[in-house]
Amino acid sequence: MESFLRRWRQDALDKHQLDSAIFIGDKLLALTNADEDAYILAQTHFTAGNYTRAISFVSRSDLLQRSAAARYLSAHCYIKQNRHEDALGILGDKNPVHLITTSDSARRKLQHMTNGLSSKQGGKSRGLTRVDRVDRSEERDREDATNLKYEAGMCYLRGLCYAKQNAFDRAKECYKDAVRIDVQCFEAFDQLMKNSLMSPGEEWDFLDSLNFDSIPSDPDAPANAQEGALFTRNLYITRLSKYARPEDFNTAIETLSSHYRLSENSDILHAKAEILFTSSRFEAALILTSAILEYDPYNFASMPLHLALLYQLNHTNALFALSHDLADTHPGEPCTWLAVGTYYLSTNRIPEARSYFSKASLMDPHFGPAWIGFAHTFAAEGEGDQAIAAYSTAARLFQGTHLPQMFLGMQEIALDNLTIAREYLTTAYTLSDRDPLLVNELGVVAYKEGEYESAVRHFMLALRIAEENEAPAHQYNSTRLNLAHALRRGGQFQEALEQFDEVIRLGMRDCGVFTSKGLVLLELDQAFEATVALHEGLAISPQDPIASDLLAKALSCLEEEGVLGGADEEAVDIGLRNKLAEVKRTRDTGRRRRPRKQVYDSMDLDGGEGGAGGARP
Amino acid sequence: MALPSEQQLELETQLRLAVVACNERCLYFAAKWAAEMLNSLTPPSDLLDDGSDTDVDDDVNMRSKVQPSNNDRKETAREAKELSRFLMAKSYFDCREYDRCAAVFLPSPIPHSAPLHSTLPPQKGPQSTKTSPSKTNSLSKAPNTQLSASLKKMSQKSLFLSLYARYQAGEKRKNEDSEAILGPADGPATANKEIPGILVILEDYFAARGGLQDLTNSQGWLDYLYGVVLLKNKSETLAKQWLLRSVNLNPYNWSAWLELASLVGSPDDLQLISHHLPQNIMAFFFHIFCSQELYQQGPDVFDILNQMESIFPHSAFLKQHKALLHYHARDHDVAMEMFDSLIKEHPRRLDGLEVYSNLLYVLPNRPKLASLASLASSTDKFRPETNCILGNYYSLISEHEKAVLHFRRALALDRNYQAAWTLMGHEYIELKNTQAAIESYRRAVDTNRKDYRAWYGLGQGYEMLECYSYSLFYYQRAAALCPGDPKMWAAVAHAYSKCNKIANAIQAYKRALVVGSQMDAGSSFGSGNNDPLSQAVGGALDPQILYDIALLYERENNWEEASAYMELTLAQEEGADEGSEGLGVTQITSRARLWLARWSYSCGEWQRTMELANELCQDGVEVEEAKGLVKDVRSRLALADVTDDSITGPEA
Repeated sequence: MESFLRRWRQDALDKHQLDSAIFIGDKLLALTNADEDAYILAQTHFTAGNYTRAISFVSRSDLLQRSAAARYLSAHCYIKQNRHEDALGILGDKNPVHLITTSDSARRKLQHMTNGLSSKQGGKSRGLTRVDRVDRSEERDREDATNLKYEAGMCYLRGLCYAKQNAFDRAKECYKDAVRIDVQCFEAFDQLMKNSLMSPGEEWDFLDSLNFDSIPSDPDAPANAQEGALFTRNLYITRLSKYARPEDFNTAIETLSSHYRLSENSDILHAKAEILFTSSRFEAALILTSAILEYDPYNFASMPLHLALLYQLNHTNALFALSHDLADTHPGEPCTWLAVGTYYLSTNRIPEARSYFSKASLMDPHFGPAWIGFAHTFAAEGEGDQAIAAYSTAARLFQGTHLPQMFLGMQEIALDNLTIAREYLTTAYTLSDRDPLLVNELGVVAYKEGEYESAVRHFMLALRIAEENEAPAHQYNSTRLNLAHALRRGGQFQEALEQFDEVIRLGMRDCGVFTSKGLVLLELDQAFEATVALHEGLAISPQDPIASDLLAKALSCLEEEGVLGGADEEAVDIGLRNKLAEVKRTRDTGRRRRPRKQVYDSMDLDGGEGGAGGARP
Repeated sequence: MALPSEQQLELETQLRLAVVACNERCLYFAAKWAAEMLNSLTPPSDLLDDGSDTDVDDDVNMRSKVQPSNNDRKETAREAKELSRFLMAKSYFDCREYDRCAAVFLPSPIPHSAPLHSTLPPQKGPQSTKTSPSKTNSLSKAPNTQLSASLKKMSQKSLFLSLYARYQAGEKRKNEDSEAILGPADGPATANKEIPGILVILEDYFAARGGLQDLTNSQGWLDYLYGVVLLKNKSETLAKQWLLRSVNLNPYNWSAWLELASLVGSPDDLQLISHHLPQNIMAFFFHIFCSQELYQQGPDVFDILNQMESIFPHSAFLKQHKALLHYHARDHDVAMEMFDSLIKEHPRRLDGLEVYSNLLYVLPNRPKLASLASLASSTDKFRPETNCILGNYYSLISEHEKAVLHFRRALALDRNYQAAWTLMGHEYIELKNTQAAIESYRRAVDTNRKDYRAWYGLGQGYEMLECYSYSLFYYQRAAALCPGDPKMWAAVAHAYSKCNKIANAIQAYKRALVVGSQMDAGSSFGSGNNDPLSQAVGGALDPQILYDIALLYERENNWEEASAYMELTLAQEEGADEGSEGLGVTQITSRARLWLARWSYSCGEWQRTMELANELCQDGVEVEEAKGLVKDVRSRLALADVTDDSITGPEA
């Protein structure tokens, strides 16, 4: 009877017929009164969303004390009900750090494991795995493998609670411990990455410290003991920040795509797209995100990146269509409203954009892109203080990424608080030193402080990084322009001129560029070329005051210059003088009168009406 | 025929190839030019006869002979492989569907916006996912390398056509975005948005092929496009290099020569550039064209022109340029004759006729201009040339608003039509709309910086606005382009004097004097010179300029020089040599005489004062002033020495 009921229950659960599963489970529990059945019933209630009932079932007969799974479940229920204090009460605030396995042991473990294999002491019961056995940690040995997973899960839940309480440092530690205890606790890892709780360097250190060998290998193919470990490691690598160690990244992706046919997988594509995005190859990245969404139209993990790309490439129409579609199908998803906000931002309707960004961030207070977008709307309107406040929130939420810090720095630059700006930017730099944009901003600070040499160094570095990233040159045109300005202010006019020319070649048609080029040419005493450059600038923006001023200056320099440089003039002068002498001679010989001829006044330059026709030969 | 028949045949083959190649790449203008040249080798009547004789086999022979000359096997293989797609792309281009044409070979990915199958019933889901992997398959392989790989596999012809289509699409959109002529969106602020994309592709393409130096396996077409795009980005030195490369690789693309010509800003530039040109017949055409644009009319140009005419005896292009050269040399009658015969031979050919209308305007010859206008508008009302001719006609009969309307229409048809910009500037000057005039002239020099009239017009405009240092700059540019015209130098000098740079002003005036006398001494074909100015100078110097110089010296308190130049002005009344005809008495010389009279008076040269003043009285100019002087001198003389008869003698 019991087995019949179990099968029935399992069948119902498989079909998500929760009512019948609850009904049968209840009967089963009445029959057996076993811990296991109580737990499964609670779990069924959890799946059905009856969190309080689920708690009541696990709380019965002090199951909580005996089973980690039950503790996990009830804590999960509390979290689902937003009762984080209660959840913490069950979870306790201590992580079971003694269960952590480290990669230091992993190395020694390897030998151990081969021994273990040869002696065929392989696990026989309850899924006890080899790895558990070979682990040097004695406490860990004692723990049941499933229990370990629940312990890790509880660490993760603890992290969630702390995160809700805005205690991000503690949350981070909890997540990290969760992954350390069970490398396969992807949820914790995902939280760490998604919320960028660690800086790129930290992430890599963390990854290196993880013991992937603790992953049980496929029992069917014990020869490939390492395979699972390597595979997981590679998968995790694709999730790390893209600013550090791109080589490792590429090898990981390479392995995953070539050995496992994962090249089409959306997460791999997403990782690739992120790399392309960080190196400013937007078109290519957009192709990838489009491919992801083609396959899975509502992949919300990739959506923010896709939106950012659409914004970067000015695909307003696509943004419009996408956000309409999302609003129709997923009104409860914060990403939807991020899309709407992005659309308004790209059409320069800032107030609307702001309200939608704030809507998205209200729906999910930990939704980073929405916060950044929200702050951007203030920055776009030049409301420095509010922008700084918003960026600061983002910076608090996402400690691992340099972006909020960098934006803060940019705002402070805009407000001319250079010391504070430098502080922010330096913090950002410690988080990530491979972002050309950040290096560029540091250069800007140096430039504003009047340290042109240092500014030049920064800009050059930024350009070099961009080049190493194989970023298209025109994306970093503004950095190049900054470099040109810094060179100009540093007195290296020839080099500055080269850079300005390069900027123009790369297609920046802006009055300011031509004006600066004109200025440099003026400094180089090439007034004529300066005038030509300034004309180009004024052709683009006829009212530009600086260009006009400089043009007047250049022209007055040109006034000083003679017509022909003197050489020819001598001859002319002599010729005229001879003529003059001749005239004086003839004057004495008496004057021959001639009949009056008609009056010519052919050189009337001031006259408009004569001039226009005359100028037409 | 000046060429031996072998070379003649070779030339024919080359031109024929060029026509086909240009047509394939949708370079219609270059194709037209080459075809005209091809047909001007032999008289049209011959061609007609030949046409009936030659059977199809001959043509086929010619073709088969032509084909292997495409030495790049790989390229031919690629072209063959792409043929059907290429034909489709070409047809799209011919239908002016530029974006579609570009997308045949360079598909631009459409970003994911909304799922297409969301409305489909759910069972279709798996189906669509099944198809998508094949799609993503091609996309996901590192898109950048994928793009460049497809570029590598593409033939140069297809790549050129697709990029050129993209460029044209951008130009079309730019035109649409620019809205009204001289409107707020018109001008360099509205740029061709496709250019950065094209630039990136071409940059990668050439970088992969060894850059500028590596001439192997390039046909010169993409180089031409790269040059054009660089030119649009104002990277002129680089553009020049690439265009030079293009004309060296593929000399029969006239469009590339034209772009190159637009970069030649002065005769010196032409000299410099000619060292890098290929030594063939096209270089001569280029030389003729540039010389014409630069107002060079030395005997060497005519030599080349005559040589070319012996090879291409029926070329309308050469005839047109000959006419233009004569016009620039102020040989108005000869030029007019040539234009007339040109029209007679090619009555439906409108190219260059706007210059003829300028000539008729300057002469002025209203009836001829009217008939030209009606001829042009019966041929095609919506050609920029036609509208320019009409504009000139209306301007001549003083209907300036109508003239502006027609120039605007010409510009709406082609915004890069420099002649119309300049002429519209003239009209706005007439209408006293200085701002619009300046803007028009500015656009004119933007499109073609070799037009001295536009520069001069800019100078005039700014002079009217009393921005003298600006006008000085523009006059200088005009003078640099047209150093043989004393008017330019006089304008420069005038601007200098307004800027209080008197020394420079004097220099410029002197320059004008020299140029004026040189021009008068006779240019290369000075026989039919009927410029009123040169006759007025009468073999000597322009009195106005002399007078202006004198006044400038006066401003500098250099009385010695001032009086000397006044004397010189005065001397223009008589011929330079004994017996030759001078100017006679004019207003200017009279003013100079008055000045001299006052000067002698202040120097105490009473006798000379009396002499000059009496002459003034005789000429009937400034009589009052002169009489006053005479009286004054007399009384002074009477006071000083009453008995001196020598002074009163002539007076009696």
